Amino acid sequence: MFSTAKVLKATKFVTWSVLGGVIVAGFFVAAFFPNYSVVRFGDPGTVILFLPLFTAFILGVLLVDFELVHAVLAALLTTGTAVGLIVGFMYAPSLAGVAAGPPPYQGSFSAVILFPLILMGTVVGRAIGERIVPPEGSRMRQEALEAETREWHERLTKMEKSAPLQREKGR
Amino acid sequence: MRSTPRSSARVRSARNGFEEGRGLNRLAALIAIGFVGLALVSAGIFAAATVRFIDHSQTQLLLSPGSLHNGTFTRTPAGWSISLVWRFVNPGRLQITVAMLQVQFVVDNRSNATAWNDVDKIASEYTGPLSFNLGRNAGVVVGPGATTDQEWGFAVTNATEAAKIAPDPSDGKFYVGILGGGRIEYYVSDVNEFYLHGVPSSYGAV
Repeated sequence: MFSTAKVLKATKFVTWSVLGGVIVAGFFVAAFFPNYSVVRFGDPGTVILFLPLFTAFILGVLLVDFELVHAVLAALLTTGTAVGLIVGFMYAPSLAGVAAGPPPYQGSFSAVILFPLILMGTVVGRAIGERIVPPEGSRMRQEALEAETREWHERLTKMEKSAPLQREKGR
Repeated sequence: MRSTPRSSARVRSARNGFEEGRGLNRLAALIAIGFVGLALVSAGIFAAATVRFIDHSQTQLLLSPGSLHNGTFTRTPAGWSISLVWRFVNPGRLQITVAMLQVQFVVDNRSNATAWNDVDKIASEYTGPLSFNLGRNAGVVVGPGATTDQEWGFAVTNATEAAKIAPDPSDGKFYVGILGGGRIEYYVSDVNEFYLHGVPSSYGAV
């Protein structure tokens, strides 16, 4: 059976990944279909390239508790969510029964470029995340090691100080 | 027997912390909050764009080029004074701007039983254009679910042309036909694309 900790960890993994997909899809749609967006960007290309990278980087930072392979899976899940939402957007008039023409297909093909960007961002984010926001567990383990090393160092120093005295007494 | 000295309480506490402490640290929590905030903003952008895309498509789907709504024919000493009103109808959920309308009307004098759109008959009747080309910024704006009328006035002073205009001898009404091949050019809301729509032929008393 699944333990509560595992379920929580899996929920966290899915939540961050899906939220990442939502961020990427929202900005992709706004940049790629500016006619329908409430926000318009001066340079849509920058948004389409930069936002997935940035979002995935943050996603990687948030997944420092997970293994690297999980970060790759998160990139896949994020891309899948984003592409799903973008395709959903394109077919929204058809789904609502008010399509006046064919969906703007060109968007779906461009969405393919999201995967390498998201994958790279997630992996790099996870690697850098270990440095800038180490998981609590890693941080405490490091502190424990530092404290133990210091303690041993102090004990050795004491032993070294007391050893000459004993040698002198022995003479 | 333990061969190495027992670790201090501080070290033991740190070790236990490693096992228990799985939460995010403060900086990670801030990043997480920012990420959720960005996701909410993005979800809002996505939802608004989707609704707008659906409304845009619905407006296009239901768009009607409008029709001749009414007209008045007044006898003047010089001939006829004609006023024709074209009604634009927008059943969609977004505003439209009609930048251009181009149709041709014919006043059927009902002098014989030939069909109103017979080519030879049209050649013998009074015809004229109902058109404007105002561009996007000065076009006729029709609000969502609203109608807008556009009126044209003609003064027919040429005696030959004026002689072609006559009401139906039986009911006294004037019959006007709109010839096929007309078209309108319109914009939906502030979307940077114009659309062309054909105007079907129609016929009736005004």
